[in-house]
Parts: sequence; structure tokens; C-alpha cells
Amino acid sequence: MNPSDPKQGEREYYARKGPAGIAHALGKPFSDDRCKFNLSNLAALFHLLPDSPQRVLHLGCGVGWLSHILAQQHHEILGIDIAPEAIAAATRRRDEAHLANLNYQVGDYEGFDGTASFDVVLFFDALHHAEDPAQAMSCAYRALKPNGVLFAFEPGAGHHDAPTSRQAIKEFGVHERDMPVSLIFALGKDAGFRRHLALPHPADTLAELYHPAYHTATDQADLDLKKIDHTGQITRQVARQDAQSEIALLWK
Amino acid sequence: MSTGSESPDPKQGEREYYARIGNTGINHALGKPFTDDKCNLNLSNVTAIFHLLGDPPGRVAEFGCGVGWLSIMLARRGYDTVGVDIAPDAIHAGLQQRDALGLTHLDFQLADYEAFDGKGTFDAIIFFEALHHAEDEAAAIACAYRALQPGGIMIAFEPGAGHSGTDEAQEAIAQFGVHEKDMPIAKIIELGTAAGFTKHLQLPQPWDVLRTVYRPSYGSAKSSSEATRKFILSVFRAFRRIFFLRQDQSFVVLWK
Repeated sequence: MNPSDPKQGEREYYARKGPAGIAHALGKPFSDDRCKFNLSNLAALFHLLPDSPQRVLHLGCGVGWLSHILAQQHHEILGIDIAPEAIAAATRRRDEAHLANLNYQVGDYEGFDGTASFDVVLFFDALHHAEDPAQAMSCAYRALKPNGVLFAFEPGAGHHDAPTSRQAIKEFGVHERDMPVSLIFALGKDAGFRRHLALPHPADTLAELYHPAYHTATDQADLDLKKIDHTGQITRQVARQDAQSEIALLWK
Repeated sequence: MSTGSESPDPKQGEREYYARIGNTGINHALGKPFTDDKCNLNLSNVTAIFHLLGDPPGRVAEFGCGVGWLSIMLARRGYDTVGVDIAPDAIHAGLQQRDALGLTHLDFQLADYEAFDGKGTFDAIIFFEALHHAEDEAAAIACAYRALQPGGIMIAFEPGAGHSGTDEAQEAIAQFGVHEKDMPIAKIIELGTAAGFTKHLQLPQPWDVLRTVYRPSYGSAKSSSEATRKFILSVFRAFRRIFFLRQDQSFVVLWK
């Protein structure tokens, strides 16, 4: 990491990924091996948002695959990212689709001044790349209207040491932190958030409900048994309260 | 123009549907699920399809694909996908969109899914809000069976009992002369078994489970502990939906 610019890795990430990497990111969630996981989270996010159009601040939006989808579903979006190449790609795609309710800015989300104008602030796989997460949470707080809500979909404990994270740190000099909900709640409390709630990632539940083992059933009775087993797994999942993977909601 | 019931061609309504909804309607359909009022429903439910298909590669056909928004998603994920629809204007729009996106593993075929010859080459056949528009659903399911490889699956998300009587369905019948049938899961299983399918599962629609747990109303809680209590109640509701399946909130998977 460059000591004179600790954010250089994030700033130059998309420039170093190049056109193929940018095209891959634009094709998310479908282009990705994490498609099932991201699609499930996307469905949860859509359910959590009120039906009426919301003013959404998307911090660390990257090339904007998610901002774009939210704007298609009538919400008004401002996407912020520190990487100029990401914002350029996002803006090009926005213009091709003629989306008037979607805006992008190159900016550092640790220094963004939103002054109480947003209904929703969203971090989707982004806060764990912060240089100073406390600063990012304060900016998110200031950007929200009273009673506004912050959603954070972030990797929890163990992310920093995962092989893919190690590789990203080495190759691109980016930050890859553990960002468990307990840490997000603590930082949020300091920033001024009054209430919070942790919700499970839906992908784990859906993976049990629609399990690939169903394909290996030998007959109808075996299939019915497998269904009982995997449905039962969901009960165990909930009872275990696997805190590694949760969605954080905080209200101003 | 005559309606389907008076027409000598009973499938005329389906054939001409996209021509009659015009460019605005076609563009709206292409932007699905995100452009639609039913976004939450469709987005949640396609998630189950991605879980059930397993990772690509795989060969998938969507019967009654319309302009192909779901076929396009599947192709973008990496499945070798064929979208089949009886409406020429829908297939035309799908092909244009495919070319604009540069998708190479996607084909659209103008065909009647009641007579489509899939030659036993597919891993999965999907009906997504499509089988209930059939003239002869037994023939459609028999075609799905023949199109599948041994062990292949047919997935059907369809409206159940009561659909044909809804205002929305009655309006579509009156305006476009399309078929709008009740397509309860018991009927799909019965026809499927007659066609040769060996196993079947009725599963809860992800939409119905997710909407009980992920709700905007947590925001009205006065404290964190009240929000948590609301969440725990939601989990119980979700379990009820998972363990006591409601016919109109389920979908079905059949194995060849």
C-alpha cells in the first residue's frame, strides 16, 4: 500500500481491472459466480424498500450495476465511487438507457456531504473497502433524512483472511476488512443512529429450500424425505443465528 | 379484429398479443422484472430458478418466453438458452435484444410450445407464467417431457385456482382474445405424471417467503428490541409458509 495515498488501491482498482474487468462488473449479478447470492440479496433489498419512489444514496457503487437496477425500478439514485473509471462506465450505461433518475459522482464516501436529503443510504459490498469505516458511517448518517434507513450488505468475520481477499490486497492494494454487523452497529451508534436490526442473508435459506440434492433423489419417497431434511435445515440455520452473514439495517 | 373465442384460429390471441400491445408494451416487457409493478414477485421467484438449475453449463428452454427477459437473464448467467414463443413480434424483439447485448448462447424460436420438438436435449424446461395461456396444456407438458434429457427438470410458476376469474385475466381475454386458465399445481402434476415424469415437488414461491421476512415496516419500530421482536414474528410467519404450503403461493418441479 502506498503510504502517501492509502486509498490509491480503491481509486485505481477499475483502471487496473481494465475493459474486461469493467465489462464483467457491468454484467452483474448475472456474469458472476455469486449470482445466486447477489440475486437473493437483491430480492431482499427490493422487499425492504417501500413501494413509493425513494431517494437513495449508493455509496461505493462501482460501475453501478445495482444503482442501474434500482433506477429502473423508479427510485431516484445517486451513486458515488472513488474510482473514476467505474463512474465513467456507469455513466455511459446510464446514458445509453436514458435513465433520468440516476446520477453518478466521482467521490470519496468518507468525505461525502449529503446534508439530510436521502431516504435510504446503501452499502452493498462496499463499506468493507473503507480506509476509515467510522468516517463513512458518519457521512451516511449526515446524508439521511430523519428516520431515514441505512442498509449494509457486507461480508462478516473471516473476510480479510479469505484467499480472494488476500489476492485482491496483494494485486490491487485495496482494503478488505471484516465488517460484521456488530462492528457496523457499534460504528453506527457512535455516528448517531438510534435503532438497528440484523437480518439473515436470504441466500442461505433459499439454498436449502431449493437444494441441488433434490436432483439426486432415486424416487418420489426419497425426494419427499430430502425435502423434509432440507426444510429442517432452515430451522437449524435460524436457531444457530449464524452471525457471519447478516444484513445490517440502521435508522437515523 | 375478432376475439379468440370467435376466431377459427384458437391461438390467434396469443399469436397477435405483442403486435397489439405495440412498441411501448414490448419495451416495458423487455425491461422486466425491474420496470414492472410485479418486480418483487418476479425477481424473487427467478431466484429459485437459479438455485434449482445449479451452476452453468446447462441447456435450458423457456416455453412461452414472450420477449425473453428471463431467457436473457439465463443466457447472461451462462446457460445455453432457447426461448420459444408463438408471437412473432415477441421473438423479433427478443432477437433484437440478444444481438444488442451480444449474447452468443441464446436462441429464440418462433414456435407453438404445444408442438415444439426439443429432441431430448435439454436439462431444464421453464414455464414462467406461460402454461396457463395454453390451448392444450397436456400437449405442452408432453412436449416439455420429450424435450428433456433423462433426469431433466420442468419448472412451472403458474397462477392457480381463481386466476381465470380475476379482473386482470378477464380484461386480457376481452381485449386480446388470449387464454387465461386456472393452472393449479395438482393439475400440472397430474398431466406431468401422465406425460411420463417420475417425480415432483411442490415448493413455496420465494416471493411469499421473502416478503414476510424482509419488510419496510421494521422502520416503524420505536426501538431496536421492538424491531427484533417484529423480525422474530416474521420468521414464524415465514416458517408457516414453508411448512404449510398454500396452493396459490407455490410452484412445482417435475423430474423426467
